[in-house]
Amino acid sequence: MILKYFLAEGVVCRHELFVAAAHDNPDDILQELPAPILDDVAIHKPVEQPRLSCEPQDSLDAMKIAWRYQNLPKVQSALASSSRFGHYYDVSKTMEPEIRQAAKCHRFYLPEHPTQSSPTHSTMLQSYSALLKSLQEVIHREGFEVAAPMSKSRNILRIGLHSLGSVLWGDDLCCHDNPSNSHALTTFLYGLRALLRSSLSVAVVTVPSHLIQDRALMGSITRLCDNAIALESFKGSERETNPLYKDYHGLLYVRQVPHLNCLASKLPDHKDLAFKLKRKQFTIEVRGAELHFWIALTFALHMLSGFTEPRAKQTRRSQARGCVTARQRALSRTESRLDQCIVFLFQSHSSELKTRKVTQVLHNVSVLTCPRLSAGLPEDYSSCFLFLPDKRSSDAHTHTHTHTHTKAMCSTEKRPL
Amino acid sequence: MFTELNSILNSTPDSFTQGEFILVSDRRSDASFLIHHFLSLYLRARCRVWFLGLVQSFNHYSAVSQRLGVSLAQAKEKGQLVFLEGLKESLSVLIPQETNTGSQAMDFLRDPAVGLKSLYEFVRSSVSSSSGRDEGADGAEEWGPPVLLVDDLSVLLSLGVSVGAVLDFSHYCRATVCSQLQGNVVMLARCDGEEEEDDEDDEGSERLLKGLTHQCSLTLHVQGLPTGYCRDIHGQVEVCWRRRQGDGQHAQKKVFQYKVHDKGASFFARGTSSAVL
Repeated sequence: MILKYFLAEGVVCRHELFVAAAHDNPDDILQELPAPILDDVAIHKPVEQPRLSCEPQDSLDAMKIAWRYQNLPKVQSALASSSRFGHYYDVSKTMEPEIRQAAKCHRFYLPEHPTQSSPTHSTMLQSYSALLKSLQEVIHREGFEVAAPMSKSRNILRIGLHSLGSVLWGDDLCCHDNPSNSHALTTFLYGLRALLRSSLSVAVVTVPSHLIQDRALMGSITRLCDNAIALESFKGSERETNPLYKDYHGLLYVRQVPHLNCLASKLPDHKDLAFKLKRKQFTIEVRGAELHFWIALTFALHMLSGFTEPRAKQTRRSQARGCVTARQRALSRTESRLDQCIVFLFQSHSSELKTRKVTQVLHNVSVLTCPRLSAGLPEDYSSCFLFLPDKRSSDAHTHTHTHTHTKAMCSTEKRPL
Repeated sequence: MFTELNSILNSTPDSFTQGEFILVSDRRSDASFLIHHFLSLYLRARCRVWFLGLVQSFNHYSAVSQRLGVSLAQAKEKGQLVFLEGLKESLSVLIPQETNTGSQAMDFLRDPAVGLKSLYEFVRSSVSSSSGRDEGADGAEEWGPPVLLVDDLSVLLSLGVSVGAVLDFSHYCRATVCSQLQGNVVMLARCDGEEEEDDEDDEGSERLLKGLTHQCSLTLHVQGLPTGYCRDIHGQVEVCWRRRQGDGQHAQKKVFQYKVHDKGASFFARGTSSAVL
């Protein structure tokens, strides 16, 4: 569980923990926390922003984090950053009991809280109400409230809530298409958000999103949280055998980034992240750019045979310059092949590097883009390159055009190499 | 207050259209930065502002407004700003205590099927009581027209309130604030799905968005770029004026791209981002 990393970090930083689970006993979860690697080895900064740092937010308001997982085998995470936030963990070992017991842990195990006779005061389920009430009691008792007097030293409460929304909590979100209590979980998350905003705590919540069919519900759950990350494993899906993904175990999507107390949030530089589970570590990387490049290039070269018709090339060139020309039958055929070709071409990051590589490989090539092709560009691609064999020998200049609108208006971006 | 947006909307703190119902919406994006703009604009225009902050704490808005040059704490003290902190009030409803001291505004959490009458009563009573007080001014400051800001309406749907109830609430607010008191209303509604998708069960937030679009006089719709994620351009804003003058309806649309900074947001015509040119 990624939750275990979060809690392990809390133990190492001497924060207090609150663990809630419906099925596994929280004590069992606590016993399986990964062992920290205590020698400080600097690991290169992965692209993923380490949300699980032990530094509290500058303001005393708290954050809420939601993690979702989908068909995921047990993984442990070891996110690190170059600024030495956080610690590294060895997944193959569990934490020493002495280290673990040094941290104060509060537990909420659902079977220990029998359903009360009094009816709930809202649309929340009994289980969620009891959890919320217990959380509030702990926060109040241990002095985590922001409004509490500043007499003693303040600490952070790390809350880990396991598998909310699943049947184990009595919720039927995962079983039915039209659940009877569709707003129980969202109301609970609203209450949790309220609690976190008024206390010095951070919560990580896991939700089995692969069992929830309603996309709108996942959307509202995401919006009720500050951070949302989805993990999608390749196991059992067609991507497992795809050579593009052979190095990785799954993809990681950043669905939402927090912007608490500020106008602009720090968006991640790369949106294309994949994770892999090694024997001792769980790492997150930018998806292999190199492999894509060469596959795309090979494919593009296959398509080149249709591009040598001189009139087609002329029309394409003038189209690229923005002139309107009459569509010709030959051109439309090549354009449709271009449509297929473009789908595989480059992703938006490090395109400059690729351009240089491309011109090294294909000398005597001029690069043009066809404006019409921007209709139907898949999401990730902000530049498209089109390769044509060029009769001119020395003219290997390249233009890169970025099209940001699919319909009439196009904006062009010229980036010199 | 974003100066470029002011020139786009032809509004300044000194002169802005009164009686407007402004709908700020987004699709798979985050339009809350526009709420901060309107908050600071109307506070600078010396209007009385009622803010229903249902998703964030007061400190969040306060911190952002500080960077935009407006102090929310001061405005609250002077009585210019009335802030309903939805999250805080909700706790007293969701976790019942023996002594319930909160206002009745968030009572809909108890039974969302009842609707938002209690929330509307809160708005109506505080707005009307203050405007009544202004007439017999006993040395009190002269404030401008009342403004109601709601952030955001879609969370009400997540909490179990029906779309009809939310639309009723917005209609009543519009009738009270815009028509009766010639004030302005700004509401944020968020949407998640793709516009072209046609689900059999017309999804709640889509219906809410459509209903609100018909009620409002100005919409600002925020979306991501159609070609995907870009670091320098955060998205596009579609501004649509739906004037309801005597000469019939006249809708005018403009599209801009924007980038949100630490201290504001810049808006520019499509393709003219400084990163591109």
